Amino acid sequence: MINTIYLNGKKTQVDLEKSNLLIDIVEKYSRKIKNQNIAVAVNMKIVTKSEWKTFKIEKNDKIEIVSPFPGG
Amino acid sequence: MNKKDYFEIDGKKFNSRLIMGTSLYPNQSVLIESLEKSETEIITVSVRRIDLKSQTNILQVLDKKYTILPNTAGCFSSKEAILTAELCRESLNTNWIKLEIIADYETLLPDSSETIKTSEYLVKKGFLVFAYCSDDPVTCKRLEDLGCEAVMPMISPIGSGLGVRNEHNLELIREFCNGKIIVDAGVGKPSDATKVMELGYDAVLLNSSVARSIDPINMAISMKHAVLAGRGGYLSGMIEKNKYAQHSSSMKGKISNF
Repeated sequence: MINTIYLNGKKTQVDLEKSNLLIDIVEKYSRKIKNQNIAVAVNMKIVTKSEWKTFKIEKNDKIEIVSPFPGG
Repeated sequence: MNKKDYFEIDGKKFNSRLIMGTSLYPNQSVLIESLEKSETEIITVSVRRIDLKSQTNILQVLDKKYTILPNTAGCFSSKEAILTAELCRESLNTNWIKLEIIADYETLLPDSSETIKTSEYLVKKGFLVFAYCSDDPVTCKRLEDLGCEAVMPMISPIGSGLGVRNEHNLELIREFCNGKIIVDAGVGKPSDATKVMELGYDAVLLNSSVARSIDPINMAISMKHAVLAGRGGYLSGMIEKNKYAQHSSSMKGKISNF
């Protein structure tokens, strides 16, 4: 079944029955990133890297994937 | 000047007292060379949603020698700033955080009450807080007392380039606070950096004044010298101001009046 999540503010369709683990979402959408400087929050709460493998995503969750950017 | 005048934070010794932002440069090569020529050792970055198409990040192009000071730029509330600080720590593997909570989009002035409340929380959570704040001596002292690693008063609004607007307050802040004070925002000219360093401030953080100048690389060099000049002046013990002139050439042995 296709479910809606919000990935970096964008409405995104995913099959949570196939996999509802956060790590699969992160890897799918950030697989091109060659470094480890990614951090993730779900519903405005941080989910640390060690939790990605077990953290379960539910429909309508708001996932934020961030990395370093220029800043002052 | 004493060659061992290190800028010490968190047990680390830095030669440079110039902290550089990494935003607004015309391109990456100018950014890289400006940082290099400035001889900065600490640079600031933000964290933002990854670009799902390009998926590059600033650290991939910068030399690994720099110590990273991540910021919470753009946050308007304590809740937002705390989450951003946690994301910075997770992303960059550092407990350093430049806490920046702004009150409104027009002025980008810091929200003092949110900053104090949030600093207290983050300090308790083990962050090394560098608190961006107004040039209000009382706020700076509060932030220092609750355990911030450094207080970072603005000298004028972010990106304004207006320079020192209230020198008296800056003097009071230096008098009130025993710990590290780093000027964070408002530097426009090299002389602004020199001025605050002459007051005994520990470091200067700047971005726009270099990145938005006509020649950022040359301006970076100028800022390096400006910070060194101000620091040198402060350490050397500047003479007191006098209402009247005091001649420097001796009057003794001068030829007679005619």
